[in-house]
Amino acid sequence: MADPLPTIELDRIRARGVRLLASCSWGWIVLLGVVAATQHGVGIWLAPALAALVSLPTSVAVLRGRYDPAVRLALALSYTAYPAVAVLVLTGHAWQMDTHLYFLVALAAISLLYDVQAMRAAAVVMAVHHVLAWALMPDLAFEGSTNLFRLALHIGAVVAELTFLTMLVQRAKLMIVELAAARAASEAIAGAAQSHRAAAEAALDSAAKAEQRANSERCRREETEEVSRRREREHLIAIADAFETGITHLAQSLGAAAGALSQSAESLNGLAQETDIRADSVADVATQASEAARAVADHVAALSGVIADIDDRTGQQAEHARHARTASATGQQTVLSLIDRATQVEQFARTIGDLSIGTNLIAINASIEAARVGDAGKGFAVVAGEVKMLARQAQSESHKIEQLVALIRTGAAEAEDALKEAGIVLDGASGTADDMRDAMRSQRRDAEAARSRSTDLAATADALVEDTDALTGWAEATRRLSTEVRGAATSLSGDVSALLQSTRAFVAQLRAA
Amino acid sequence: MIDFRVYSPRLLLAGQSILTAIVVAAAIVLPRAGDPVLMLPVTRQAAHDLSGRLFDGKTRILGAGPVGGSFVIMPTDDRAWKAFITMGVLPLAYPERLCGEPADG
Repeated sequence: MADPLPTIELDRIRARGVRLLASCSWGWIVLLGVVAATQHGVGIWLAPALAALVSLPTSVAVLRGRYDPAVRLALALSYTAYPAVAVLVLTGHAWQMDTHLYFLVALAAISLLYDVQAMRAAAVVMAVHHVLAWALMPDLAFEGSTNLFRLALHIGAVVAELTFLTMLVQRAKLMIVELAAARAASEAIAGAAQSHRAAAEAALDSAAKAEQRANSERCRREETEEVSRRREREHLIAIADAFETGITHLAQSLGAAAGALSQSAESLNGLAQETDIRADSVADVATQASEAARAVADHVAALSGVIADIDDRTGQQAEHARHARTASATGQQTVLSLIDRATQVEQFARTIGDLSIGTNLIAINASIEAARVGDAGKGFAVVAGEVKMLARQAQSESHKIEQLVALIRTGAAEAEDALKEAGIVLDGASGTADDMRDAMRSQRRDAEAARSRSTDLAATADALVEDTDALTGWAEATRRLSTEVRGAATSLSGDVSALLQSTRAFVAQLRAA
Repeated sequence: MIDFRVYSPRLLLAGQSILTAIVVAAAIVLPRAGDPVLMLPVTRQAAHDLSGRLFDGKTRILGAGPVGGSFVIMPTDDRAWKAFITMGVLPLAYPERLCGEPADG
């Protein structure tokens, strides 16, 4: 029985429907009484009495303020009885059976309760009523034809109306629920708006108070501003005086500074011109120095080549001296060997001399012996004479040999002495050549260093030329700037005069204000 | 004594259902003007009194009813229903198709 969508709004609508239907039930009673009074079939009291009887419980409950599901269901049941009573009231009337259309009206009225259960119960009761009428009083209820299809036709009408009314009620309930939700939301928004309105009103009050305070503050501030304005004016006049004085001094200072600046610019211009001239001179000198340095470097390079040649030749000379010394030593050794051989030859010669002496003695003895022997010894004496002569020749030759050997020894000694002196000389020459070669190498290194320095000097001179060119450009720029500075100084002098005039006019206006 | 101010929903529904059933049934079975009426006595005394009352020469009797002691009549005076009911006789509509022709008494 509990409704799945209970809301306060739905309950309120249902309560309103319950009250409406309960009130209308008594309208039914009155209406039935009036109709019954016009008829003769049933007693006047019967129809209103039956209607009142069926309305009594629900009326009491509604008067107690109830509209719960039981009351709605009872009210729906009571509404099924009124059309039945209406049919009874019109007994014998031609329109009697037309009144049963009010079953549908009653079912529609029950839909105002927004209770599907009550609607279904009422429909069931209506269907039962039709079935009972069909079963008990078929000629009365279904005049002309009492078959089952006619009953189904009536019940189908009730069911169809019930179906559509149920759909309508369900949708109406959903709408009510949604409206309730929307209303709750709108109430929440309204509450928020109310609170915002209160806050806004409070803010407006605060703003009004703030405006009042601001007005009073503005008045006070205006008074204060007036006082301060007068003071400021006085102060302003004092400041104007001081300003005029300061500006005057400043103008004078600026004028003097402009004059000094102009003079400085002229001096600077002169310096720039002189710098330009001297820079040109320096550039020329540097160019010449660069060329000279390059010439020196070239000469030093040539000198270095010569020194290298001399060094090579000195080395060759030292080598030749060493070879000569070696040859001298070899010669000396050969001379010594020659002396030894001469000594050996002398000894051979002496030996030969000694042998020749002995041979001579032997030949003398042989001659003596041959002389003793007489004639037989004459031949022998001849041979002995020949041997004696040979011995003498041999002695003479050995003596010559000794003389030659003596001469050879003397020559060899002299040659040895000469070779010794030559070796000494050659040793000195070789040392001298080595010293010369060392000196040449040292001079060659010095020449290389001198050539490198000359090259660096030429590069430095070139850089000096470039710097001098840049200095010339700077001097030109300085001259232009000095010209501009002089013009600016002149313009500044004019501006200072204008400033002085403007200041005097401004101060005059301030004083007049 | 039922206190209608505090009766329960179940009691309300029961009472309402009974009253509705009575009224709906009454709407069906109460006699119609111009139609035959079944006079149904609910007690023996009522049957005795009914027979004495019907045979007073003022009522047109169509025949005996389907229940013993009952009669089918054609009413001529609607104001007599109160007297019959007071006697314990229920005047009901007579479904001729359901109950057949009244038997000659």
